[in-house]
Amino acid sequence: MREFRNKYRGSAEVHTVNIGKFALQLGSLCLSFDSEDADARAIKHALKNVRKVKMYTISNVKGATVSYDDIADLKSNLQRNENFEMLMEVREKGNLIHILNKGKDDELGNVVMLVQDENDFLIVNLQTSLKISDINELIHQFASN
Amino acid sequence: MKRFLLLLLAVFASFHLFAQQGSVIERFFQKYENDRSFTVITITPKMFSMFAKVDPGDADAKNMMKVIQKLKGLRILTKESTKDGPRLYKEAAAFLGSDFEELMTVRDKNSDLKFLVKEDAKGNINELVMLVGSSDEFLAMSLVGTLDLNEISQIANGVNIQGMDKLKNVKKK
Repeated sequence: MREFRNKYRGSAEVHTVNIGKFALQLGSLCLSFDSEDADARAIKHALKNVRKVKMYTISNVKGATVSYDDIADLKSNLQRNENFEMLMEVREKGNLIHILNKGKDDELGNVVMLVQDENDFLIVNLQTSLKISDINELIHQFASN
Repeated sequence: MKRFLLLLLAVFASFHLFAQQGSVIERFFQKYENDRSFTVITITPKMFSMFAKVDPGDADAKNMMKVIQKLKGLRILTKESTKDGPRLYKEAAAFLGSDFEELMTVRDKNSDLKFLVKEDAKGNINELVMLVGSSDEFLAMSLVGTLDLNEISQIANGVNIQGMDKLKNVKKK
């Protein structure tokens, strides 16, 4: 993913956001100020299991810089070389979303989202140890609202 | 040795035949999936296997989840605001003709809707295909999984996909 981003440095506006464990812990500490909010408690619990969030954005007005073939290559590289598995794919007009993950049976594990909209191409990488049961708790919490 | 080679050849031939049988609707999707005027949605078996581990709260959701656990894949190909709806509908139906059995056809003034199924030897449905062709829209949906008609009816009740409501009252005798 880093290699992919580096390929476009110089030819497009590229931004990288890295949120590490410390920043995530700080975020969950802020959420713990409101101890009565059940939503905040659920998010805090989920955040405990997120190790790192990386985001790369590449300006890509109407797909002029990052082509669909480039995105397809990145996707197949992730599947072939990094052992990611495709979860779902949605393409509507110029917009594209691919969601892949690499984790054990009951783990969401390492998640990659490739998102292309009209103006930008975005790669989101969540490194987590979230289990399906954690996601289940989040769903239950938000469904109860 | 000769017998072993013949057996190996037969096994490869059967794989090839199986691959061809499974790829009828796939060929139609492949023909149009790179066309940017189509909307494509794909949910993989991995995603469904992850759904299967979610523990739903109430009894209705539990029943629905039991059915979802049997699903192995979902693909939707749709084109909106198009005059090609009837043409694409006919083309898709022709692709599926030989391998699939017709379950239901609904035709009104503006649109055609067809459900086709592929059954296994036990009479379970292995794949459900829905085609919708109207004067301004086309939709093809392929749902893979081992299901019976009651379960398909349950899915039809639980999803909001245009045309699927027609299957709400289909029940296994």
